[in-house]
Amino acid sequence: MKLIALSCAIVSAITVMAQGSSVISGIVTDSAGEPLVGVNIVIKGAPTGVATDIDGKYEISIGNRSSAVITFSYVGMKNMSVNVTGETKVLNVKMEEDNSLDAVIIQGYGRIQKKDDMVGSAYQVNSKDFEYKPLTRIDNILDGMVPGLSIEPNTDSPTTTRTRYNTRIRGEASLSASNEPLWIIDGVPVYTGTGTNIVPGMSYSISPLTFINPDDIASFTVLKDASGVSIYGADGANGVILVTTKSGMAANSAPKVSASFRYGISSIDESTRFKVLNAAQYMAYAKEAWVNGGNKAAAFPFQDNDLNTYSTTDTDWHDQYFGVGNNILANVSISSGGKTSSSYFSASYYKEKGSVKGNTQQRFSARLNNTYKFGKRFTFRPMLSASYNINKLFSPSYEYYEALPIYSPYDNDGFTYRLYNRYISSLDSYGNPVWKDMKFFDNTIADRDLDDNTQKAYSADANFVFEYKVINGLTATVQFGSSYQHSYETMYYSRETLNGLVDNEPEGYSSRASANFLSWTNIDRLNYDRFFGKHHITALAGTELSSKGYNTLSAYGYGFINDHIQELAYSESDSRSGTSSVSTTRKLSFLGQAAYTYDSRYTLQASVRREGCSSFGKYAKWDNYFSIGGAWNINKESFFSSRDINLLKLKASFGTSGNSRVSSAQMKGLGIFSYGDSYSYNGEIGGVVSTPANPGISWETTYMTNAGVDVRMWKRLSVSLEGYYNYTTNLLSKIYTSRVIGDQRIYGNIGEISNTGVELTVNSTNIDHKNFRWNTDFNLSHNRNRVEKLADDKPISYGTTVVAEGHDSDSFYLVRWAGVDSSTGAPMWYDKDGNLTYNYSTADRVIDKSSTPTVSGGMSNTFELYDFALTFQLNYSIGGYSLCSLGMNGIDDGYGITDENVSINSLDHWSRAGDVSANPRISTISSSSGRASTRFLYNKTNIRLQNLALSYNIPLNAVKSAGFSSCKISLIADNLYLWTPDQKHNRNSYKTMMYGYPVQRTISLSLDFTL
Amino acid sequence: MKNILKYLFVVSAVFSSVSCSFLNVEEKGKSDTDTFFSEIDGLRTARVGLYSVAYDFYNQYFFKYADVAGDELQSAAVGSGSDMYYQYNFLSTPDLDATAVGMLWKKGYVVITNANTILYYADGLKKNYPNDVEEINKIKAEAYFFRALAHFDLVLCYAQPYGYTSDASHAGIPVATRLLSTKETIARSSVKEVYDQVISDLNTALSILGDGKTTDAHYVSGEACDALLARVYLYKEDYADAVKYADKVISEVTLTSYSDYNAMYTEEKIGSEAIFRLSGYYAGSTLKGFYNYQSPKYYPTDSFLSLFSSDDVRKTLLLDPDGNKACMKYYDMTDNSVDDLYYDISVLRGSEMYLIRAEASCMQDDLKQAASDVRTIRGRALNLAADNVPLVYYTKADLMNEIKLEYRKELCFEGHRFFDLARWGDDIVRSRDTNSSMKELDYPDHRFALPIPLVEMEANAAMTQNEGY
Repeated sequence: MKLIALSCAIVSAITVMAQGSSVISGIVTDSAGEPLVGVNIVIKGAPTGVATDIDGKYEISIGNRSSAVITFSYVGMKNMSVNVTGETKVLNVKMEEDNSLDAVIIQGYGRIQKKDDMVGSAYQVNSKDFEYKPLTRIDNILDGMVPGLSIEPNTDSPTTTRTRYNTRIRGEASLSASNEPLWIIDGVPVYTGTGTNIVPGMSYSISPLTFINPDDIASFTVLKDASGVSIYGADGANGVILVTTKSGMAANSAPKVSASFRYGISSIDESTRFKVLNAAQYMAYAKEAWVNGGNKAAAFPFQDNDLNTYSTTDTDWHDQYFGVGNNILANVSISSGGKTSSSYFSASYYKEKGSVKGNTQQRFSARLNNTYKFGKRFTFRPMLSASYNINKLFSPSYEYYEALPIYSPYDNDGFTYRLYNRYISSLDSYGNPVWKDMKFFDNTIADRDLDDNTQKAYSADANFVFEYKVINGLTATVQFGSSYQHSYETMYYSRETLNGLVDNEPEGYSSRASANFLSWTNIDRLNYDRFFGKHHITALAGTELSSKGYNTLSAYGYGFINDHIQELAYSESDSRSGTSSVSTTRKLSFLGQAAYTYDSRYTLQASVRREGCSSFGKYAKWDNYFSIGGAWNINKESFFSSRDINLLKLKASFGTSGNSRVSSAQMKGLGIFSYGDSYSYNGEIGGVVSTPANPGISWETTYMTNAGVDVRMWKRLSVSLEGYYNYTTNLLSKIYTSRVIGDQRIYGNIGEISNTGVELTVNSTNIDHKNFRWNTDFNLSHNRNRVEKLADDKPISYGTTVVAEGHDSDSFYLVRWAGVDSSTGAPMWYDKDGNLTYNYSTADRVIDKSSTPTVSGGMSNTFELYDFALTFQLNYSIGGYSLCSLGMNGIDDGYGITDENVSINSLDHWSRAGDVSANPRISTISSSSGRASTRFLYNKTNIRLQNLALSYNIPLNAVKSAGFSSCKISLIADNLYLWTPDQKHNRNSYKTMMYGYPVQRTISLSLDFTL
Repeated sequence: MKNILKYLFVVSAVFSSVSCSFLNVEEKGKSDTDTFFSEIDGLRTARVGLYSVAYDFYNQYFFKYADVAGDELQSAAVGSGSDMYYQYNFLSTPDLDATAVGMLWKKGYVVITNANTILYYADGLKKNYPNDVEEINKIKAEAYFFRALAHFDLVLCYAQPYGYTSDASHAGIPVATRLLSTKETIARSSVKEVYDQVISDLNTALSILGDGKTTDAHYVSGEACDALLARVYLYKEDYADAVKYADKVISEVTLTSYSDYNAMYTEEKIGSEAIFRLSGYYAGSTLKGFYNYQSPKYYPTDSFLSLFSSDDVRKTLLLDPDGNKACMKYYDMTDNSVDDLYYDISVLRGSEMYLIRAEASCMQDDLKQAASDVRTIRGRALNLAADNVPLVYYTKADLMNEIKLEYRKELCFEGHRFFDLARWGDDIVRSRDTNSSMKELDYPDHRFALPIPLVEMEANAAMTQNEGY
């Protein structure tokens, strides 16, 4: 059927051309001169119509008519009708905005769809929506802005200041493969690290998403349902984020120069600081625990001596590790549009000095996106970008609060880094103290100041697109894009730090690591897009070849004469060692898609992709994906008449998508052979099968169902409600096989998992007055994750969490805390059956609560008053629990008190019979009270005032005389406030334990000019 | 339209022709099995690994099971935590995966899987290594031998003895003669089928290795194949063949002399009668800890010790230097440093061949030959010429009892006793003072076979449980 329609379309186009009819061409732009894509252009009375291309250009034939009326229509713009004659050759049209709703959605593979025709779930964030957002990394920009998308640090423990982020679209669909969405920039997939965003070869993973200048981005499109992601095949199951970079201006526009400068100051939000005991509190607490532990008071370790004066020292370690940071941005871009070419060029410098001392990020970036037209049919678009990134890292771990306040960071001279503390280790047989000098590992200030931990990353993307207009509406496109990243990490442990000691001798330790990542993609496609009266047909057919790979090389050594040398060539030769690794994955796909819209009323869409991937077993190298979807714009029906309702749309889609991002060879079905000493025989080293091959292993498949209703009222209120049900089958999970095959559990396609959810989006223009406008964007999402089936029906326990049938895949598996016995101060738990017990046993763990929030989302508001604008964004998350690592590390009821400082909440502990207290009796003897239990489970509910910006547009006449066409001053605040229901002024709560480090608040001043 | 179709056709034709090679990525730096066996050194290493997993099977559970389930050991500890507790007390149940029930199964099939992996890859290497074809074939022969050995040992553990049904049609174990995948049905073969496969594998190995005296008993030889065939035929009650192969081995092997006898164990001198022993060099023996005379987990019972005359050299291996009961067969008494200690496991040795020939001959009513072989073994132990050896019998049954007695004395704690009893269909009668909860187990009984492990039952739909469990 489709084929027939397609051939009819081509025939009619050819017929029109054969008559030598007069053709009108031009560009359709908005009031600001920006090209409009997908404008519907119809000649009154004629059966056919056309749409503008990505540059806003169109061509339409009026046949042999002497005059005609051409109608331009575009969602969000007022319809325009223009009278033309046979003489008219060029007709450029400037359309007036009807309201501010964004009307088109970029769908990938050259498809641009009118939002009103969309059958699935896609959400687009345009550059003006994030102009005030932080510039560190592009993924964080989307936090709270997109319904169903969450971005969270992957850990709440202070392990690195470059925390990896988990980006999740509609929950987690996999246990063993990646849950990260696919990032695509201008059609080319970006390497964002392994399935969990680890950058291979580097000790610290710095996300490649920090290498991109956010100011170059025109839009993000988040594809969430089958109609959007199926065509991305084996990488689509976790959603797809399409990043489109800015391009040049419409033809014959005056060049525009934009420049922005931003300077910000950052510091810690003190209210999010993890509070610990000061020296006096600590001493009292430690002595009580010491004596309760049955130790002699005379043997209390911390008594003044030559090296340490405990009685007078009170170090606030927090201040040693956190300070005032700043950031600088300078950004210049030039865009122009000539008759046959257009250009966008940008150069940018960004530097951030973190509030965690010892951390800086610098980014030098440049981009050039050009478009060249050769005649009427050829277009060539080279897009080149490069960035050079220097990251200096220092990651304080728990020591920033664990270091004892009675130690000072420096020796008594006040400047030598303290490496040892002296305390009483025991009493001898005469009762005299035995002093001992112990290494002061918690003092990493010396490491920060003397060690080196630098990563330099060079990233270069080259992306070439050739377009050939075969016939009207049919475009052939060849795209070749490559993305290259090179990271080089230098680390050095100084001879003067404890890290730099080898066998207690100052040696200095150096490591050098290099990693190269190259991915390339070749896409060859045909796109068809034409109107025939009320019929709108689009189609796509193409192939995609892609390859991604990396190699790493690293070397280590120690034994340096002094700290200035650092290079391995000068280390002790027999101390050197090294390692290397390599990986390549290739894919080949065939893809197609077709959509039909009748009268903007009914839309039907279908897509298919066949994909082969090198990383899967030989019986499952290829897999197929498909989707179908439909939409019905009820408001266009004749029976529907409402002045208030401008849009009433029902939509639904169904389809499949996959997840090929698995890491280990095991998951690829290959057998693994182990080699080593443990398999030696008679003095020879041997190798044995460690995992049998499982060539039948195949890809995870997610069946995605999405349905929604979109309503727009009074041309100022849009409400979109969507529900989805994603069911993942063939989940890769470890299973027992017959031992005749192998003795280990191997990966098999066994599990099933579902994600069910609803998303609500509201965009509202609350007030639309000439001099005062107020806009609100609000979104809310709820996702329920459920493990539907597991191998052998057996739960998989990960210690404190468990994957079990019928539960969320992030469920906790903990012993239930029952509080403190008020008569003895002993900790109590519930056993498996709910009875009180004084004995901690992991056998009493139960599955309860999960880390998945009940609802989460964000709200942004924009107020415009004359030349002032105020925008702010609130993000919220309600429900869900966290087993806070700061909470667990921070309280151990006296057990480790001589080694580590504790949470200020420890002050609320039991001391005498009858005390009703949160924390048990303290003692240096463990009562197991600090072991993982629901005691450390915190409700994750929180509201964050993420971003606030106040800007002032300097009035035009004032800036014009100075030669500018516009000028804006903005005051921007990030992470202004964080609220949690359990927050307390002088105690720790979820608010102070949410992340591994306190929240960094940044206040910036920004100046934006255009010439 | 035609153009589009043509274009599409050309594009898809081009891509389908390149697609196969495009998607074949050579993954360097991966320890996947294909890569491992891409060169002959991988095969050589896998051969070493095969010996090591076979050692592991024997060392960890197989020898212990054969002897704790017999009637010659007393446990030093009573309690469910003690080693081999469930097998000593005949309390094996399918869920005891961490005991011999699960581990014999698991480790036995590890030997088979490794052997099959070698057989899967070996021939493919011949093309690239034409000069090494002989070596590749030899490695294949070793793999066939181990595959046979593991199948044979497993069928002894998990199935009733060959004679349990007249045609040995009762359930044996799954036979794996190639690498199997998760999609295949893996069911138990009959005991007869298992024996047939074992014999076939041994003949294949023998045809490659050829006849000939063992040169290094730590590695598989043609002689070892003959010796194992002799044992298999004996268990199969094919006495003529048992005699035939035992004859063949005996003609090649010289029994270790009286004076060198103890050194076979306590000084790890291989001994002239060694046919195949798994080298414990650097391997770490659990048998040593099991029988360690300083704190043995099991030691010989009084009643067993009472069978030996005081001048029997073999008795000295059952008493520690202080004269206490202890199996000394796994204790290196030399002054070697810990790292250099050997803990060999004797799989096949010449003495057994005499006993096999004695039993098989006796069963074929060749009492003269049988008596002669018993005299040879007994004479060596007592340091007497064969003619002077005391051996009194009047009937075939008398002689058979003497043969059984000699089996016990000669091969005690070398992984035979329980399987011998089962083969003979004899009841297990333990001494009255045994601390096992099982004092007597009359044959037949379901407990002469271990239960199939629960893990296997759950993972393998085609698996059937042994009766009684």
